[in-house]
Amino acid sequence: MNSDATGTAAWRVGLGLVLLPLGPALATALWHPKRPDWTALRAPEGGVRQVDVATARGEFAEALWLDAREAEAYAAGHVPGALSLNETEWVTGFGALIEAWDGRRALVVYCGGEACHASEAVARRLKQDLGFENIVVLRGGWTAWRVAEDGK
Amino acid sequence: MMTGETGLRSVTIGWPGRRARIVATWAAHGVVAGVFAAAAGFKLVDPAKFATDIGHYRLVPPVVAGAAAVYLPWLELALAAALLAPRWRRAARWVAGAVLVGFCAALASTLWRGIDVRCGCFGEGSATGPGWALARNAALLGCLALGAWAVRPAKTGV
Repeated sequence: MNSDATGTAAWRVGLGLVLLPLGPALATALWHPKRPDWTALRAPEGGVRQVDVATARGEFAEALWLDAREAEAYAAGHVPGALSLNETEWVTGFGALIEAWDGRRALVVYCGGEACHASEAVARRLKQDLGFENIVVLRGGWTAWRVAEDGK
Repeated sequence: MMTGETGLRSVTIGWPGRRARIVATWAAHGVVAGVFAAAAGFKLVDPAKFATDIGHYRLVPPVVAGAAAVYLPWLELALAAALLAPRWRRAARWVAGAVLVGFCAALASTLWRGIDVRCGCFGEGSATGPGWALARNAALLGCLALGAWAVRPAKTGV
């Protein structure tokens, strides 16, 4: 049989197809081992505060800076004193962080620009791994930093 | 091209023939069903990661992204099954088409806004950019159109 069945009202089937997944979706939301963290989802950006360059230079003047971009981008240029810590080479970067960090300084994480997400991901992971809360993300990232530097 | 016999029996007029239509019908629906099933499987491995990927599109609040992350894989699975069932595939084509158009709109919006996202189409392992993902979804929409065309009853004459 190569033609669609005509006896079944297509819209009813369509409605059923849209509604049917709600049941297993609810079960997934409640019991899947890797279900979304609903508590964290209620907080914007997973609870990571974002600061602009001026705030980072003022309030976080003593902070340790972390560059969440890939190694090539870091090698091409980075905020003075910043360490490289990206998700691709996490173990290496994390080891360097532990050696350089005194456990008290705030951490400022940045990535390429307004549209990147690496800094948020790294900041969230650091909060999780270190249990350290004083971590912020630089809004606008490396692009905003360079603009601010050029404007000096 | 004429198939069958002339006389009192009905014959299929025009190209392609009945057998080619059957092959095209199953191939077109099968491709879309396969892609949907694979995408659903990969997403269901880690819904939390998929929720993060949806959030990066910056189109919906985080809680909605979480809800979509647990709902969409099951919708894709249901559509994959329905696309292979002759009684349900007509409705499944419409719903799958709407879903793909929605995905395309979301991907196109990231290109428009200059947001650098990975599509998240196949869960954690997919690093496809929005351009390629758009092309893939367009191809799947083409498959659905082919399926709709192939499945129509052929013109017959006596």
